[in-house]
Amino acid sequence: MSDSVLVIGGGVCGIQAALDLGDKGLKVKMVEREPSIGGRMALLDKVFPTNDCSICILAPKMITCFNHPNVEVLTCAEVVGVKGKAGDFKVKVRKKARYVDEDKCTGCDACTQACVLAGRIPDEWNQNFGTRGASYIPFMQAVPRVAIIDGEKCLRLTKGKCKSPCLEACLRNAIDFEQEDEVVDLEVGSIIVATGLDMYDPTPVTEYGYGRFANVIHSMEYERLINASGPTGGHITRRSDGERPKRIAYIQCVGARDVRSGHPYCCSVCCMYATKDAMLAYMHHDDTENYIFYTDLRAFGRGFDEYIKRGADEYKINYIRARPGEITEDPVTKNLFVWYDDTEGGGVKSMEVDMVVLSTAFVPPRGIEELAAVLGVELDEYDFFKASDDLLAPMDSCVPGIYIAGACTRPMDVTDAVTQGGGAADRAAQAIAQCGGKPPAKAGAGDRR
Amino acid sequence: MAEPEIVAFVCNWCAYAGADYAGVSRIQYPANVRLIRVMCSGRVEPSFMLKAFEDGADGVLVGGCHEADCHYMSGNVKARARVEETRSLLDLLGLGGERLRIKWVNANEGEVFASEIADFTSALKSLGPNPLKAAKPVTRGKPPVLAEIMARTNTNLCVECGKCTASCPVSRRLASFSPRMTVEMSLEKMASEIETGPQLWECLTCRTCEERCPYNVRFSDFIREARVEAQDLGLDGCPTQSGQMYSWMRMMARDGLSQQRTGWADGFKTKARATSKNDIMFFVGCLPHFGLSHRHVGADTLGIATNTLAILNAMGIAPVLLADERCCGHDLLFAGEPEAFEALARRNAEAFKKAGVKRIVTACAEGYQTLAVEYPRVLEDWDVEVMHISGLMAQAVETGNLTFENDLGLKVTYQDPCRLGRYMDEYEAPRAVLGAMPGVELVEMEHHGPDAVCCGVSSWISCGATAKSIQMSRLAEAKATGADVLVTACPKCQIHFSCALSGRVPLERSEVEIPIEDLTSLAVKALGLSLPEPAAKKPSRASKAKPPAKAARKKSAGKAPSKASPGRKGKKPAKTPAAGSKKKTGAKSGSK
Repeated sequence: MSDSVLVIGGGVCGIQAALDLGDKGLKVKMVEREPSIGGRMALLDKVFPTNDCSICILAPKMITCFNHPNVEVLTCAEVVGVKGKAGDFKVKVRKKARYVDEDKCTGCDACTQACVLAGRIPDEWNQNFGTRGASYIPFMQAVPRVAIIDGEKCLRLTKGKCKSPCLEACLRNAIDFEQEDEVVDLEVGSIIVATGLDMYDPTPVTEYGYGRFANVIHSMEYERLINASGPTGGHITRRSDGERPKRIAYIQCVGARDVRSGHPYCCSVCCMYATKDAMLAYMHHDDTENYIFYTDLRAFGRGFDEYIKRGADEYKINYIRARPGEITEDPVTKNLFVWYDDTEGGGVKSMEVDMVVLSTAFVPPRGIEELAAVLGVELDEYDFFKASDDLLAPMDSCVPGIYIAGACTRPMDVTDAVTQGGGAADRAAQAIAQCGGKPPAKAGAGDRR
Repeated sequence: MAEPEIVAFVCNWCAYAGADYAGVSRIQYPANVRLIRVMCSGRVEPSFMLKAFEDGADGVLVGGCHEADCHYMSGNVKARARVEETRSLLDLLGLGGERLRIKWVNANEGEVFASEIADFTSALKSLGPNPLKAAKPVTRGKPPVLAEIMARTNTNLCVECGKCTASCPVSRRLASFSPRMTVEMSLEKMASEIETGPQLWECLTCRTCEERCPYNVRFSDFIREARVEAQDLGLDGCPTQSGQMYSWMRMMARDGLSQQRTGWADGFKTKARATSKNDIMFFVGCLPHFGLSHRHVGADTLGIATNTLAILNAMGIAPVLLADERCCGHDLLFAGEPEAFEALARRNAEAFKKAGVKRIVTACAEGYQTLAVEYPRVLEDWDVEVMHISGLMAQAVETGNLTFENDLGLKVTYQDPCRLGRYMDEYEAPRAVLGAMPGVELVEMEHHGPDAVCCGVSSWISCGATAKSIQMSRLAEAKATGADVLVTACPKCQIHFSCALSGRVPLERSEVEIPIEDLTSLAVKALGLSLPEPAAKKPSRASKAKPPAKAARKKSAGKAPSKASPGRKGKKPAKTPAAGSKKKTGAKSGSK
């Protein structure tokens, strides 16, 4: 019998669950695959419908979570085995070597600057727009702010041939090339799965030329470009020439509502975030022309429709009801032509723009099938985690004691992910109480929200 | 026997007047001829002659002015070339070219006209009736109703996003053509508007829209099925060459024909029936026929057939060739004649069964798709493996059974045929074959693979300004790659691109002119194969038919024995003897 709860995934949903449980006095083990918690939201610039700075509202939660006396965060870690039942789960976690001692590292950046590969590896945290070294800190607000050495790229670790200036640069002797992957055994009473989502890779949608045309990007790349802490310092620039795009087209439902890509569902957030993206472009430069090509405007939440209306009225966003057929490129200027059938005005038209942003689908995160097998829970037809009852028990998996929350259950926005995180925390606490564990403490003293 | 019936197309100025002169001069001649007056013999298209045979005529005569007498300069010379070509087609069909004659008759040559009719009538009497006369045409079934078509093709699922129309190469050029609007019309149950509207025939059925449709609406199939009802209403897509191809295809769907169409393959290693389960049949399809009907655009489709045979032989394969193989039915299926298609499928399937064929290779993307996908759809017990030559070659390259040795030193670009690519999802094999050729560098066009643009025409429908415009931009795209050769893997692509370049072009010629070659022809060069003599001769005989008519006829007489030889070689199928004797009479008429 254990009073602890395992939270798999350290995005905003998992963080909310961990904080709620910690505040109730329950012990939480958070397992995050990446070197930093924060998840997808940590990389966004602003969030709808308030246009709040995303990291500004998330970072305090990340830090609170990490420093919470009742929460233990394991980064670079994955759950590889689960045995037992509600109240008594035995969990095996593989913690990958970071090659940096988390207790010693202060995140001073000395090793990342000293690395001989500094600036030579595409930075996946910046959607490959920027570069990093083999030793790096994922992003400015990473939690824990601890360097990591990329075991697949580091010359010393791969070839054994490097003078390793990082060792000398680190004043705290935090770098440890001898570190190895380790398996950590945990005992928990219940489990919350909040592994979030991946973005659909639009390369197979060949007609839009992603990967072929320099100035066709997807929405996550756009988020990093327009983010003040991103690779361009918040300036939207074209990959082809570094110029500022004055005409931007946003194409909705790329890979979503598309039976051919295997994602026939609506992602429920793209209409909103494309509007937000266009608003931001307009806020940066009010001579930017924004065109959103949509299939249906699905602005269903409170204040959402007004948000779209504001986009059209105040930010001069042009909404065009059409799913473009293809994009062609001017070989000289690298401008793009969006070919579309104007379903309201009529006729096939082509529009010349400087940049195209593809609003790509939310898809289940990589590795979800393996994790589902480890947990023994079911996936739905699209490979999201399946609830035992979509209507009345949306956070219950098919296994008692294991709860699911956030975008790993279906595409959802931040608000919904936080709501589910809180809900799942309650369900997990209940499960422990029912198994004879410690009853949740009353909210009050420990409440750090 | 019943009296032969002759249809005579006679020109207004000479032959008709000559017939008239015979009449007023009270010259007696057999009453077996029905005259159709045309302004010039040059007006008589092969489709007219073939249609007459399709409808049961025993003989067709084209009457024109003597050479240099044509009132339109050269109409009669053109007519002669067409007659020559059509005679060859009739030979291929097993009807016999001698059933078609051309005769110069002056306005005062009543005697000449009368004696020609008498001679032709007696010749036809000894030939016997047109074998199609007794055979019933294929009966039409009940066309599918709109609701059925919609359910089958998912148009119910359309969300009207317009991605189809924005992807369509036709819509981009022809504002009145909109797949989205057509589907919307179906949702509003406007069946008759769809069936009678021009959009029904403008569709290339190239599946670009289907490839991209997020809801899997199968627009090409929708169009194909909607055309059935339209055909019943007497509408068609103004087919190329006023439908001569359909004529010979329909004839093949019927009883009565007994073709001897393998003469071109003399000198190659072939067999008449499969002796083992692994034996491969080469389904030739209409390659020899298109070689005749589209000789004028410079498309050598018979060459695709001979090249394929040479490649198969080089791989150690002596393929089965069927002397009475029928058209695969693709074009009729897409033109709204599913019954004729099915009749062809059944005839072919029966012949394949008789010959013990279990594996088939085609050199044509359409034939490949039709045999591999459409045949199993309509035939209950179809169990034949179908391959495209590109797939077979790619396999052989992989296993080391085919090694290209000649360095061609060529930069090539490749046109994905719709039927091979989007219909059959075969993008890799042709590229693998090209990649295995030393010195061949493949440069892709901007639109390639699933995004490749159609060659502009499908199933001989709607070959017009839109088609030309599509072809021009496609050729310009090919040219822009800097490639030396545009490689295709479907005879239709070759025909359509060659045709586009054969006339005047609306752009600078240097922007679009690029040699067009079939994958098989490049393979033959890379393998360093030389084709056997007789087969190499045959097409040249056809092309020599143009200049002096008499010489050409003599030639055709000369080649008759070689044509008969497959009949001898193949003691196999029952049809052979009759056809063999027919060939001999063909020689007779040639020397007349």
